[in-house]
Amino acid sequence: MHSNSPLIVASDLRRHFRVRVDAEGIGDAFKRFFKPEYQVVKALDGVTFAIGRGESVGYIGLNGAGKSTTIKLMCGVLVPTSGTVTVGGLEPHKSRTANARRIGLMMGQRSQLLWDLPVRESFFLLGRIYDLKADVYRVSVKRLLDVLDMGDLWNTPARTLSLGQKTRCDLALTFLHDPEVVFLDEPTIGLDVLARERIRDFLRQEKDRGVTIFLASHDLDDLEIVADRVMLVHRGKLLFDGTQEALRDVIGGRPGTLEETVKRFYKEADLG
Amino acid sequence: MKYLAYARAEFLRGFQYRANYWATACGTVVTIAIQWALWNTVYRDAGMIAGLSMTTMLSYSLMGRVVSGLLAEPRGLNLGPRVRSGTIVHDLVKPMNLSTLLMFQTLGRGLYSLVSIGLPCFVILWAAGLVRLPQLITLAAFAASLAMGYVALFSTYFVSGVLTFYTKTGVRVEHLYPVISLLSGEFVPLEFFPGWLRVIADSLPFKGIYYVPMSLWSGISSPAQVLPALVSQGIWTLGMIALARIIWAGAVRNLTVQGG
Repeated sequence: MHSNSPLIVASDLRRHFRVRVDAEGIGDAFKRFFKPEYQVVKALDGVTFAIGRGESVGYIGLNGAGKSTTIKLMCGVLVPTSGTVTVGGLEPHKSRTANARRIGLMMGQRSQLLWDLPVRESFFLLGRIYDLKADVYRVSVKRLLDVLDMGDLWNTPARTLSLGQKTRCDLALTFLHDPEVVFLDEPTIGLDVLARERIRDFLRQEKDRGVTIFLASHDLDDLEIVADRVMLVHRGKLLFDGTQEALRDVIGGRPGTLEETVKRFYKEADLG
Repeated sequence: MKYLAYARAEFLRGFQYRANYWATACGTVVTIAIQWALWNTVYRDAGMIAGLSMTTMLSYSLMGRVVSGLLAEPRGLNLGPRVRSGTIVHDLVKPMNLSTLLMFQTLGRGLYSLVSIGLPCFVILWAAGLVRLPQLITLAAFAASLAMGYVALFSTYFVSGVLTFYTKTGVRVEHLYPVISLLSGEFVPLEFFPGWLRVIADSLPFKGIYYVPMSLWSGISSPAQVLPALVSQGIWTLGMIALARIIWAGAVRNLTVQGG
């Protein structure tokens, strides 16, 4: 099932941004107000990959390497400059709402909880938005409350939650409609060791249930535990795509954690 | 109707801000008192002004204050900043239409304001004999007109918001609000306008926001009289919805959701 019918296919995917160059000083600002200067930033510059159903991919890259851009393209929130990306045969930006039913997106830095209301209201809202039938909704909520141990958060207003509690709620919301594939952008950012471990355990369980997981994180311990496969993106290009063992082989087969391996990779390739 | 869940969430959210509630309630009461005092002064030496009695004028103006909370909500849409800061991503990765979602959000807030502030004010004004319940047919026409005015007003702000992040300039319809407010008849009915301004206001769609529903309520015009206005209001509303859809479809292709 893995490689026969890939769920996500990206081919020569590019996304360039035209960015206005900021002025230096007031005189310059005045000049540029009338004659702005632009430069092109190649956030993603020709990336090709295929991800099978049920795979768990760790997406590694320095800040600004193109991680979030890739995720946004797969979610249909950005349109490719050139090249294509498909999720389950659909082009996300052309079939944004059809794509939306299959995917889940979680951004560690951007909660989707209704800030002022009890947690249950956020779930109720999403249940409606995804048109979940009452029994499907109940089963899904019950499962997630159990697995993420958040039963006592159910009636708590989101604004009073700790970061770890909020992250758990956000994760549960992402999985509520039982998506085929989940994109996670820094899900463990700012969390303590125990909270991180809890989230990794949860993601592994979801992987075992057959959910395809695309996990971008700077916390390489997350990836080491969750990801069968790692992709390393640098300045918009894919430098490595394979298993963790294969990555170790590339830098001479020395044992070590994923973090040590990736550091060596950067050093040997003289990047950064 | 899944979008009602958004209206519900916003409605519930309203209850969370108690200080905000009392501030807005006081503001509304003060505005109503000022309007009442103002028209009493204006009408001291005159039975009729511009063909309207003081009773009619008060009914028009005070009813406008009762529903003002509902009609003020679309102004707070702030679509541009939401796109620029990236908070809109979560809305965009859901199986739903953004303009409909935002409309129900503002509707939820507007209904909260209508029920929590407008309704008590109305009851007091009604008990004081300052506004009277019109006949059922008039009431129905009033509600229909108000609903259309609301949708059209929302669409206007939505289109304006989409154009903002399209063009990346800061000029929005919001900045023209005083003009729209005047032409909509928010504070004085169009009967008070000099001839040339009346012609302009009559040919623009904004009168559908306040003037048409309030003149129905206060008996300045009958449902039969405003039928053409209601029809043109309906066409305008549909046109604005279509425009909002078209502009959004174009904009979403160029959308740049910012932030990592």
